[in-house]
Amino acid sequence: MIQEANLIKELKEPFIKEKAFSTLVDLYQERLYWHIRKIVITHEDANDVLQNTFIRIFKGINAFKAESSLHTWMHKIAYNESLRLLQKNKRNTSESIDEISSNYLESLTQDTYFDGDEIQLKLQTILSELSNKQGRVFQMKYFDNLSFKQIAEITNTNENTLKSSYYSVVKIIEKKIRI
Amino acid sequence: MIQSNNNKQEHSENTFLKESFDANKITQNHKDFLGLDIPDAYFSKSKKEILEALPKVQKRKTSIFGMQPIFAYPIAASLLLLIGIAIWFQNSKLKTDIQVTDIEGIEINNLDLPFDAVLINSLLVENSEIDRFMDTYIIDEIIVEANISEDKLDAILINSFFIKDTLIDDYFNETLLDNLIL
Repeated sequence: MIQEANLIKELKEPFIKEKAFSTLVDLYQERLYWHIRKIVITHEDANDVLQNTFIRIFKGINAFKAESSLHTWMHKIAYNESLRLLQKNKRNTSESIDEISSNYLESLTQDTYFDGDEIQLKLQTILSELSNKQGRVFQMKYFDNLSFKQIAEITNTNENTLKSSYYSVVKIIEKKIRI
Repeated sequence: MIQSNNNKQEHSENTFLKESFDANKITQNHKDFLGLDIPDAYFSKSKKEILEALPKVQKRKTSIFGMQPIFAYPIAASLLLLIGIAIWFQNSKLKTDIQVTDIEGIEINNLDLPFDAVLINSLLVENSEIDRFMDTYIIDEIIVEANISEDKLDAILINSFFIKDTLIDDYFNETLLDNLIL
């Protein structure tokens, strides 16, 4: 079992940083990829954002003060990098983030690596109908298995607000999926 | 538990949100529930790309000034000690050479001072020879001096006794005669 504190210590040591970073990638790559993928939707974008996220982690690890867990800190970087890409796409296409979100299904179905059946497409449609924040909070809680405290830190939102938002979203999804 | 991809048709709409999420099957879960897929062996390829894209860590040359005090201080102290010992050893050797030269000079120039020469030479002789010298020269001198002093003291004491006795005798004789006559 790798202790987080030991890993952080090794990541801050110049001589063993690269080896420790390789371990870090092994541990968190998959989770961060899926966290990013659900925000940026396409595999190609998720791949780019994942790479940028790890480069930012590598550069910023010396400044990491362990005020939150390493896991939360990395998710926050991944979240911000994903939003940065959406902003960049918005500038390129002159669309608002909401308009980009409305093209969620379009982007999803055009992605080579989307292979959803009827039920999966239905869930994706429901998620696309949620507000950006509601959808992300639900996905972080349900699919990324993050705690409300972690989501609050990542999104800079009040924890209680997140909880009420999540449970209302769950009810909406349950209701819509039964139809 | 979340069902596998093979039986994803069995996902009922009633159980979808009530099943616990298995974090160990994260990729499979995303495929099963959201229909999201990734290329084959994506994560191993991605890891390689990420590691290649990282900026190279500047491995600093280790100098004693850039080291942690816990390492630097003992090393610096050891170096100073070594230098100190080397200088001391060098000086000590040089001094001995000078002393030998000086002593030779003294021996040649001061042949009329055998006592000094003997003392200086004693620095270069064995301890046993010094002991022998102590026995034969210094101790004898001390004993002779002591004997002479003792003889002098005895002579003074004996003389004083004789003087005192004769004075007392004279006094007694004179007073006794006076008394008897009176």
